[in-house]
Amino acid sequence: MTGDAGWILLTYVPRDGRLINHSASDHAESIAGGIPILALDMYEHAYHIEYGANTTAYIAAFMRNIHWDAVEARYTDAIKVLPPRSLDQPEFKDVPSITPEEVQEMLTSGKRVQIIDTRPRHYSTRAQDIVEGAVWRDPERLEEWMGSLSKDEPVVTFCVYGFHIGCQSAAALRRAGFDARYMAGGHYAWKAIKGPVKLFE
Amino acid sequence: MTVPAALTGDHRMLPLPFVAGSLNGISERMITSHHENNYGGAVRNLNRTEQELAQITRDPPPLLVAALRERELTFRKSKALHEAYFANLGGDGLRSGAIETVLGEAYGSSSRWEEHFRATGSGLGGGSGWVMLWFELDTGSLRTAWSGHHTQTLATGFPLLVMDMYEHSYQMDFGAAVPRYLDAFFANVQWDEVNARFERAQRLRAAL
Repeated sequence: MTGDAGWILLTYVPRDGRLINHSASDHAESIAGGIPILALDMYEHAYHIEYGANTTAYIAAFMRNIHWDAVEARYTDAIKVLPPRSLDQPEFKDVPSITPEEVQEMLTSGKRVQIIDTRPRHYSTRAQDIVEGAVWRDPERLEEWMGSLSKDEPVVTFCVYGFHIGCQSAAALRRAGFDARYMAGGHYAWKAIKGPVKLFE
Repeated sequence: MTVPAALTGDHRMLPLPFVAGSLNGISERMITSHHENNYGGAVRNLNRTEQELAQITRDPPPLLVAALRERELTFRKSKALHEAYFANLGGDGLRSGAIETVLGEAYGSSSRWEEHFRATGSGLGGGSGWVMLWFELDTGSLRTAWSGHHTQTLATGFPLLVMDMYEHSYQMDFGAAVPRYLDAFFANVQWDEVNARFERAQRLRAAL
């Protein structure tokens, strides 16, 4: 921290289940939701009287003096903190889902699959891209277009974030006898794994 | 008119403008460490940062450029403020001249201003930052300002008196006893330098 003051912290982040080394340039900075496990004070009051500006010697002394049992105890306590609970949608508990990775695997392996983008019309009117290999169909008019689908090949539906519309579409198609499932996380989960998209024309 | 080339990365340290062991109540060891390590570190790091910035093309990620620019500002301002700080020390601490008069006009009395300045310094005790008396070029006002790190300065300010409140300025001699540092700082202020800066600042404002 040349020319600065602050803290160096080893922090456990339950959200990610990870340990992160980070700096904080004053007392007010921290990782949101993080639990500090090991704290190295880099304010000059921590070392200047004894070490002057020799931060290397101070940090070496700090490392020699760490009470690792205490650090271990903090870590043991910290990892008991659960990550944020995942989305629970009991109304769709009987509708099977598929991950974007599995969809990508189906496409690359050449497996025949009908991928239907059912992002709502109010969203699709301003959407810029669409999943490569998908066709968009208006979920409000599902009764009109589902007749064009084949019951011999699986169907994957998805919406923007994978909460409602894609699930509802998959559920309706299943009731009509199709082998349908929804892609968990929707369009943005696909983009998050860098699945290919093309211009939505 | 010509201006110097940008990002040369060849800034040099200015020497201390007084004999290191001559200050009243501030040790040679501490002022030397301050000058060599903290000020010197800023100059060396500014040079390194400028050399890195000089290499920039369209290719590096914007976040890398942003990080270098942030470091550049930190080290450039640390260098400038440290130079102003050392140059306004080495005196006898006796306020006189035009600055004494205008501080009285602005604050009721120059002693009242000193209370403000000291209180602002106390507020930074145990942390880091600067307290500065500025001449504000757009309004012609005197301003006593706080900063929590090197980069917070008044946008149109010309520095008249600069007090370092980073703990490297006082911990070695005084530990956490901030009031003793404030006493030592005021006992060593070079008010002739402050008056000379005030004179330059007024000329600068008149020329704007």
